[in-house]
Amino acid sequence: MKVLGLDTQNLSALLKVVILGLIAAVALASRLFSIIRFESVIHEFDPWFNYRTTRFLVANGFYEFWNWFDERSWYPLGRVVGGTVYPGLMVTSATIYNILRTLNFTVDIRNICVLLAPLFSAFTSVAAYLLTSEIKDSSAGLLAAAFIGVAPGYISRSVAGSYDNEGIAIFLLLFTFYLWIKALKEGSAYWGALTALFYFYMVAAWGGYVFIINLIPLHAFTLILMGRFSSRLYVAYSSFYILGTLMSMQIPFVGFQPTRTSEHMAALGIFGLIQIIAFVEFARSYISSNQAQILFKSFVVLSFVGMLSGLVLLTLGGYIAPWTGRFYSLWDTGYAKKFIPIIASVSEHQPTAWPSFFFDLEMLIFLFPAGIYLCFKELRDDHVFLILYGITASYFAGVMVRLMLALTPVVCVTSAIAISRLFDIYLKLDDTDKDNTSAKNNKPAIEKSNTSAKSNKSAIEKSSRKGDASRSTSSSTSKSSEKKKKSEQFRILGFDTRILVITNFFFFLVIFTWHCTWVTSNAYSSPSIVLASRQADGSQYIIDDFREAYYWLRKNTDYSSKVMSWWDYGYQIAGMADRAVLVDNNTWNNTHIATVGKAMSSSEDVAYQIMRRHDVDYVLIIFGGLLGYSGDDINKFLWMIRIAEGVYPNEVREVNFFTPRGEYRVDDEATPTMRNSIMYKMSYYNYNELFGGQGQDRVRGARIPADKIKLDTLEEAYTTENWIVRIYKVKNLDNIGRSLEQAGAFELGKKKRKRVKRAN
Amino acid sequence: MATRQAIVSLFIFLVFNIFLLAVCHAAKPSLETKVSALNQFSTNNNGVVELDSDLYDEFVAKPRNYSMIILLTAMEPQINCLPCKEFDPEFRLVAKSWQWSGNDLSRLYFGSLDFKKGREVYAKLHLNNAPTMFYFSPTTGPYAKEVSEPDKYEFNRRGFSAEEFASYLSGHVGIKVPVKRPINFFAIFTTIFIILGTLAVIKLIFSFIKKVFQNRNTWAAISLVIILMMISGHMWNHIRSPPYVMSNNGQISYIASGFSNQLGMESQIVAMMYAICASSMCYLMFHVPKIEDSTKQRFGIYLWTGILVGTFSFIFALFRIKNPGYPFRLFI
Amino acid sequence: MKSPSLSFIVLIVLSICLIHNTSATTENEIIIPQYWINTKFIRTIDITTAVVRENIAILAQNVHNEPLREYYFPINENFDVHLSYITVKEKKTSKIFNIVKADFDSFKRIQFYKIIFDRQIDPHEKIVFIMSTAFIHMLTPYPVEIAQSGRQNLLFRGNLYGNSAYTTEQQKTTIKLSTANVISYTKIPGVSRNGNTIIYGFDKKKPDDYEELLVHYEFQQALLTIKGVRRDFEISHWGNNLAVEEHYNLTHDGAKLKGQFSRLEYQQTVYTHHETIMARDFLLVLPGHASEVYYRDEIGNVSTSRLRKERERTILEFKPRYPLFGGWNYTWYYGYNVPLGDFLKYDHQTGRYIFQVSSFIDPFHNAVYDKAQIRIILPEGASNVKVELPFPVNKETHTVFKTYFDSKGRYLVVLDKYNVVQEHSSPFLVSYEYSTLELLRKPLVASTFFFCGFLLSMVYSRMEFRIGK
Repeated sequence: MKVLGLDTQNLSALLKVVILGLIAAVALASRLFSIIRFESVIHEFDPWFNYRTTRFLVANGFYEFWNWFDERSWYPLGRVVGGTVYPGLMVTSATIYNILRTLNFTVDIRNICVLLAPLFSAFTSVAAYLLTSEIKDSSAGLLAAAFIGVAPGYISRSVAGSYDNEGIAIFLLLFTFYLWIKALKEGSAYWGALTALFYFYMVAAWGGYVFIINLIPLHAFTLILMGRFSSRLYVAYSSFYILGTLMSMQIPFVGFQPTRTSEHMAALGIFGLIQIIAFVEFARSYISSNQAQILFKSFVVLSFVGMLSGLVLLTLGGYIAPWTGRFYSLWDTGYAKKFIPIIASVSEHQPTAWPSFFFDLEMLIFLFPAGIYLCFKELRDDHVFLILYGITASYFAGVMVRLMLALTPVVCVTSAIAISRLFDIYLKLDDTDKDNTSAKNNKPAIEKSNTSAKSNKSAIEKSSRKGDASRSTSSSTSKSSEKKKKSEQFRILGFDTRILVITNFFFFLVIFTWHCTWVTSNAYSSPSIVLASRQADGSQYIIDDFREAYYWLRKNTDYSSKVMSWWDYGYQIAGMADRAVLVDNNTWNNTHIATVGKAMSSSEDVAYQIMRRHDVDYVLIIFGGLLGYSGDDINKFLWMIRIAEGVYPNEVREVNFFTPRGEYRVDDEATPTMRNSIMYKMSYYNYNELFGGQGQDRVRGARIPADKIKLDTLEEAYTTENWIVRIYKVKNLDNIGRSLEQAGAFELGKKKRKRVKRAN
Repeated sequence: MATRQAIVSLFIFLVFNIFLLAVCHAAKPSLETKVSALNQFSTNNNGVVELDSDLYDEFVAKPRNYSMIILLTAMEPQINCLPCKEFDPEFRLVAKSWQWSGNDLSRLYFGSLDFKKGREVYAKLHLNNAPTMFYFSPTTGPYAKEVSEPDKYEFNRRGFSAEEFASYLSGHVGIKVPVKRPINFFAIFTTIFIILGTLAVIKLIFSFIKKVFQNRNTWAAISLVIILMMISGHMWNHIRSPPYVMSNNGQISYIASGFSNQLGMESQIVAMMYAICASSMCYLMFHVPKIEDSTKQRFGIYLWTGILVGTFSFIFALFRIKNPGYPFRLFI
Repeated sequence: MKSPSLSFIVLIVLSICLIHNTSATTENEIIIPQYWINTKFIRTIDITTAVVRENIAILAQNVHNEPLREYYFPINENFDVHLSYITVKEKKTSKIFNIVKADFDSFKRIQFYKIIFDRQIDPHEKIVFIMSTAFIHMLTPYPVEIAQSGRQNLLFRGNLYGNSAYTTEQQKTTIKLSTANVISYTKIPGVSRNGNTIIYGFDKKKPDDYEELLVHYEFQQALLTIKGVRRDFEISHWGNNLAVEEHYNLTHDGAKLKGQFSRLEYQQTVYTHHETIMARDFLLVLPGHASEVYYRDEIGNVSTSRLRKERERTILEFKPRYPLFGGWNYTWYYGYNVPLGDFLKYDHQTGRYIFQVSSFIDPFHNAVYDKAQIRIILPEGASNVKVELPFPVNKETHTVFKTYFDSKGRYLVVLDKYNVVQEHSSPFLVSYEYSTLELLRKPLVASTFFFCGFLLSMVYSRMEFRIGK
């Protein structure tokens, strides 16, 4: 039959393209809330660093960027940016920028950076389509694309303006997996090389590449254990591993890690194992005495054990670095809290409670297990992959909130498989149509059966000689093929029941879209550098104190002046204020951060010593007390103290900041240590005077002690409209060599005397 | 008149001074006696000096040429101080290892003062919680430190483990304070025995094990359970270890308030809900279509759809409790 | 044999250099022949704003024995660099005389200007002409630092006797101030002051007589200097749209803020802000049909500002992120679209499009401009472009500018001018030719581009990449 002059084949192809295009458009559009509400601006903290480096790359070219030593961060240490950054993101947007320039499209680099994540999420939906249609069929693929396009779990990291590695990394993750599955099916080195290529891109883009380099070997290993070793696996894995590793070592930040660190050892071990097994398979095809079989078997096992023990010995010997803290804290969940407070202090490294799972994935969260079950029903190689991915990712997502990102794709894929399977069953109308659809469904099915048949043949050969495992696989594959036949015979008799189920799930899907839209617009679309509030007349009032302060710094302070602040604001200061900072969000030097923490948490004279030693000109703090902005420095203060105590246990003591009853107070009950810390002083300086009496802290809900706060070594340089950002200038040494305290006292005395004079 | 007064006052003053001196002399034994007493006490009671109020005052009083760690505890059953009971063996363990460590014992003494023998001390120090532990550094002798204040051991930060305690002491004393845990032979034997037993059992029913092992349904079950646990926030429970249920003034609440907060029971309920939804999906996909009889099939479909919708709407309701601002609902 | 010749050459070279240097450093003192006498010389110096405006009415008499038409006027170098404009017109007919920069006396550091009358002036004939000049950056705050809500005093230094190349018989100097409270001024016999005007009078002054004139007075306004402004006008016949974008770089040149800024004091003295020299917000008047107005700085929208629509005009209440005190800087840019019809006319006789820029600069809170740049981006394919300006600019360049969907690029006119003041805010015209066929260029380019894309994909899909069967 023909519709608009196209036969069904072409029509369906056309439909697929159109639908996929629409899905991509939706995926892009649903991430633009923040631009429409506020403006096209870079969000949050890390994106500001990426934005800054991208600007540098665009301005000075790749080689300059490659060996860029940034002396304006981590003052006085500086930072080798070229060697300590994953350049994938910056290079991507710089490439896009240059291409557009050559085509005479004078787009601002800022807009490219802002829109990069939405663009790549459009690509991600396409990648999800490819992966899923590789595993099931194109209808499931379209569903998966739609899911990943709007799933909040992914949107949370990829809205317009959140210009971060994850934005492009998820696309790369999915696409690499797609290529891996493809390579495994075809057993072709071409696809394996492509996998390696995208793996390389992933390595260049995100530290999460470790997930890939551990998951794929795990998949291969599981297949071997299941007795499904085949030449396809051998070709795919070997080509992927060799090329991928070699390429990944080209990134300076990765360097020789692939041969040196435990994160990569699994891949290496599996590579060795797979070589040995291949050799054994080869030898086995010539020798066929039972003893020989046993010999081979034991040889494989022994070599495996040998490699394992060798790895352990090397690790103990220190030739191979053990797991780095960030990754180790995933296994030993108490580790970070005890030893790396910096990691523990980040909110997105907290474990995930169930509501945030539901918040980010809504109904997919229970379709996910169903999909996994489906994978077990017909257990082909790619299904095994999905299962492994699902288990590991769900574990990681449980441990860290931010790794929800890694879980979302597999959830979308599996639940798409489940739903499309359901629709397959409940939408088959009458027999003619059934043939039609099943014809479509069969084609992949037939290929599958061929491939599985191939594997069967080898398996059967094996089983004829040996191989309980292989027998089981052969039986399993045969079982699965039977099941496939049965599934052709699945029939829903009643028409009403079809209607019921279909409408029901249609309704679910509608709710899902509502949910996603709501979550996106309410939770994930505010660029955290401006705060929005409603005025009395309902109009939007924007609280813009951060940019006010940063721009003041940028325009009215000396270009070479150094700003001390807590590390959260380092990137923003570097990006927006364009001033040198002591510490920033790339927390590579714990001691330096601890020094800043010590300065913040110790008394004026001690702090003054530290600040002089680091040539600090300005100190920037965040104070939410007036407005009730809870994310301010007094609330982060405990972490500063903890981190400082980790390095200076004798100077800084956490207990001294707690009242005898073990409370953390800022009012009259605050401990003397608390009140003497410059953080406290800077936060509440001049605050009582504003109220004319005792100031009211709207975050802590406390009344500030009435006595006047005196600052000798610092002077207020600028305070923003709502007092959120307060900048202090570090005074120079006194001209006639007094201590600044004496000088201050002297000034005070003079003032008093003046006043007296005026009086009489 | 005035002179007389002056004289009187002077006299009184003198008398008073003399008296004071006498008292001091009486109250202050010499260092040697103190040290010897300590040595004797500690050696008798493998490493730990059992104090009472007077002894406490005596040994804490300056001058000290030894450093002393004193644990103020309350071991009486009616006080029922669980941390005291938890820490006491660790404390004694460290004391014992110190005694056998071969270091110069007179560097450090371990004192333990129980509440029932040292109420006065508790009162004097205004202590209202046990266990509390103070470290007194030597005031005279080669290792004297000028810090006069005793240092308080922070249980809430350092915890109750002997190793942590020992490292704390090493930091203060300057010598490595060892911890030698006695080897628990019984435990070792039992573990070995158990392992052997299990191996034997496996050998006996090997064929069966193997069947189970190679059956994909086992693996399916295992992985599904893992996944369900994870997505219902089990790791959160594991790390934050919340109470299983909360019982405030009588009625028991299974649901914790707050979006990023949950109870043990709660997460299990959620896992159950997810499991029900997933399984009803599977029934709709696999089981129902195989039924040949149309009425049975219809019944099955209605049933499972009903269950699915019901559970899902229940999850919605649950989520609305956690997140009151959430606008959507399903039937309930 | 070789070395002496070489050394000889070196010697020559050196000597040449030497000669050259000396010739470069010779000072040329210029003697102006005394052909004129100023019988009357009446100055009015207006320092009511940040710009110093000096109007001189000169009654000059030809004392030479033959007719003349050139009259020289000197300006000291340190004044000349701040000279913003200078015009001369006859008093009666108010006819504009031509005035040109004459040569420079590097000995006395004086720049001479030559006034060329429209006619010969016979011996003993008199002529009355008015010369009006404006200088910027001539007023310096004193004291240099004041408190957050302190009062600002300015210091004006000038020549007590008007500088002239010829002897003056009778002279009168009037100084106009904005306020009546003057701290001090040069006191000499024959000076009189009432309210906010100071009047000096003398007679018989020789050409180079100089005595410093000092006026120290209160000036309670911000001294705003625009270090640079760039105004882009992009004409699009396709969208029938004119896109305007203006980049500002503003500095408060008033008395510096003593110590540091205290938000507390700022909030407590909120009712007296209008009395301080702090600059907090500016009203920018945009055309009535202005649409899609945006106002940003280097890090995003200036959310403190807002837009107000009125019937005739659109008003942008521009408020920087932070109040501007003395010595503080701020940069921003804003832009908008207006229908092209309001500014572009088509002349049917000549077949040329005439684009009128409403004003060279926007009058901006009587600020002074150190540098102003106007960039007019004409549509792609505009040809033989003419720019008609009412006053000379320092630089006029015609080049090419490439942006969206451009193939050969658009015609770009750039005008640079230094020391700009209100007097320059006058309209000017740009006319060009443009054939309607040019309209088809963009769609053609775009469609060819896409066509190539499809072609490539077609070829690709028909290729066979498999090795073997």
